[in-house]
Amino acid sequence: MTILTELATLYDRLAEAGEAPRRGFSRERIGYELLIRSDGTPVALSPLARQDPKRPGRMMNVPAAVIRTAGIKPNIFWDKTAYALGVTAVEIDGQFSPGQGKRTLEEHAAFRAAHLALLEGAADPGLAALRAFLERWTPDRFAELDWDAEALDANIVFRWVDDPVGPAPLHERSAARALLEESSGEEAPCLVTGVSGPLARLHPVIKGVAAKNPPPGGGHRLVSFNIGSDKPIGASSSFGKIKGENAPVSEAAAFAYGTALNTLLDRGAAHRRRFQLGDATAVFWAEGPRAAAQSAEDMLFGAVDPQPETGEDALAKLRADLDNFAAGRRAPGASYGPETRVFVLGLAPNAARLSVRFWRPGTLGDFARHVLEFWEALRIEPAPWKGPPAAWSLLYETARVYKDPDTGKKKIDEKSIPPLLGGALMRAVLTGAPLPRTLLSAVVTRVRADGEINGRRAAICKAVVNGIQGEEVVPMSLKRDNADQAYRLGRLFALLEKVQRDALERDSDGQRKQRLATSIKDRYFAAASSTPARVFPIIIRTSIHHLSKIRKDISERIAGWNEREIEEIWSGLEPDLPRSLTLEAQGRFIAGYYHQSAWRAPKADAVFEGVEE
Amino acid sequence: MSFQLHIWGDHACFTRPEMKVERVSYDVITPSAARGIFEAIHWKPAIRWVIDRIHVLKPIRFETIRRNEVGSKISARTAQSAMNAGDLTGLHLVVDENRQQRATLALRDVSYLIEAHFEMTAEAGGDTPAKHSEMFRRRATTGQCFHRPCLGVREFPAWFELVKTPPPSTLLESDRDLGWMLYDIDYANRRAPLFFRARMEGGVIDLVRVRGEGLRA
Repeated sequence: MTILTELATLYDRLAEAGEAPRRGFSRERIGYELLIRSDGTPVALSPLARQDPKRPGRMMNVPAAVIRTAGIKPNIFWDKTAYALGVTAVEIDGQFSPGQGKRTLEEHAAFRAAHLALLEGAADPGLAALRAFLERWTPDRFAELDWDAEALDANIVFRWVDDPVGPAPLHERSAARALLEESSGEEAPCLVTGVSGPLARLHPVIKGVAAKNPPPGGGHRLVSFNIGSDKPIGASSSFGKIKGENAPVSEAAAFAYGTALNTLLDRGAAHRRRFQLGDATAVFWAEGPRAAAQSAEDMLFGAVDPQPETGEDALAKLRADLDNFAAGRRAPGASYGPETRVFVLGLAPNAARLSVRFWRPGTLGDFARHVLEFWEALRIEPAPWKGPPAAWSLLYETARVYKDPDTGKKKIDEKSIPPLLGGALMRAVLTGAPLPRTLLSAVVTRVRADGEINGRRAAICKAVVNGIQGEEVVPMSLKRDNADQAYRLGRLFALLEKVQRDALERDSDGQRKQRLATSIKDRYFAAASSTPARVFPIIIRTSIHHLSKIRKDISERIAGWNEREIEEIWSGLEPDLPRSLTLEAQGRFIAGYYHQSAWRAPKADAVFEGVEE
Repeated sequence: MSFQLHIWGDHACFTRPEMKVERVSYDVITPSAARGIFEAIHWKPAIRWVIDRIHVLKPIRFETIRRNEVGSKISARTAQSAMNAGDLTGLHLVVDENRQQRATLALRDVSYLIEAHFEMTAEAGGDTPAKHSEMFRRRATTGQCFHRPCLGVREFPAWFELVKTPPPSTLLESDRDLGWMLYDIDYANRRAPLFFRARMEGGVIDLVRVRGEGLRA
């Protein structure tokens, strides 16, 4: 079904579990509560206990936050001090004290007017207390009462201290809730629920999607129409409709999907359901009763982002679980089965809106099978990963690495990762489709640029090439009789590089004495992997000199071994070297190079160890 | 008169109204998009195409595309005043100044078999159904069309072939609830959109039954 429908369905489960706020409410960070008496006298402004040691205040369900852009709009029953009390933090000599900014008084006036209008004739004693308070309050009282300056600019809620029932904020009172329930707008069928109802003109703001330039409100909308929002003129509005009328979703459904998505994206949530993939932020969830869905989600998270640090046991259990689900069996002890439905949604900001990078509904069994296939495709010897690789870690192999000018440490330039690659990669992982060719081209480009060939890059080349060809063209470990020309050329190149190093870096005892400033790899790798016929004759010619130097100065045996190896690879090559290699062939070249250069002879021949870095 | 048209293409985007700025496609072709393809091959005011069944022949696969698009359109009023004045001054759109980058979640590699029939309208005059039926058959067989049919948006052309027996299906999951889907725009009634609950059963969306159950306006 559709993204919004599934999210709206998820909301019901979250709301039931108390993980998401009720309709008309949103979860906000509240710093202080203001205690007031029945006659409106303020008693104290007391801080709310911290839940998170790093951040002040507490997350609380409050009447839904209004959408503020440029104008002045107060929240109901809560707000920051500028609105609620008419004071904001003003810095004088490094000290913050209560004062007024440019618009503070207007903001407070708006807050007061909105509440006085709403609470007019309110019979509830708690609400009457708030009305009395707002009628008498003046902003300079904040300083007179000598309240904590720390509270300035924090969000505050109100509490009526004479409440016989117990301490609860005013907006929790049933009288307050009755006041908040109102509906407006045109009625039309909702595309999420199918039920006619008032349409949401503005859709909820989604927070928590990583963005380079977060917008002022701290979030983006999944659905919005910025051009022609007031007049039907933009390219995105049709048939004379404005704003949300273009996307008929009822207020209830818009609230439900927005809240569900915000809950999934919440970084502070105890339960992790989000991960970052390049510039896309992905969330996933499972369907079903709460406990079962949660443990399914935990397992999913482990599979997408395996942590080698958590230890062999946890990884082995994860693998066993995945094996079971992939085979259509219920894992021992699991409260959910392979038929459990799971959803993965990847979002990335595009200007002020969110765009959907990938959307994948499926079952746990399918998912497990695809993840295992992905792990299998990336296996290479010698293994560059301790445990199975996380999908996002592949993206780092396509990123530029630079030296941080301040610390001198190597850093990864995440911006250089091609933006659409994350989505394409994740889709391949979750659907079991071949890994995207763009991943190969990004890795090959990176290898040509920085000349680094490590196991991770070789593994990616192997996985993509085999995936595209649909058969195992690139073997898992060095395969001497593999007839593929590009693979052989890659091996040959690695060997020629070793010969050069043996000749020029060792002294007569066979010990390393120096390091070459520029090896043939630095000079010729890019050209050799793309146009072999042009480059190999040159480097073969120089290798003859290197071999005779080894024979003369270092060791007859090493020279002989190298010669035999070169001959063996050479004999499997066709007489005419290829003029150019395709992208896939370059991938095979890289894999061949890695296999040959990382090859270690069995212990008995320890003298002839492979190439050293 | 009923026809079976096999249509396919490399990409398709049947934009969901609930997410149409950063476009997200419906899972399958909508009835109105299918109607547009039949109309591209043959249409006259005398007839009205009605889509009966949509057979989904290939697995539903999505792909993301990001590209530069134009952010506004020329308003009808500007065009109207240019017509009245008989002067084109001011009637233009500078593409470079109206750039927006948008994302599309499009469908990849689609193939459908559409069953449809046409009805005669009040405009028919002396036309007979046989006349239009033969015209459609001849045009569809020889690949003629009034304008190039497309799969949701003009950038994704549709290929078509009139068939007697349905081509083989490679669909993996044949039953699926596709949620609320646009049926068509009711042009007679203030251009109100009509919606239906799309259910794929055995790879087929049965619109005859949907119309029997009633549409949501």
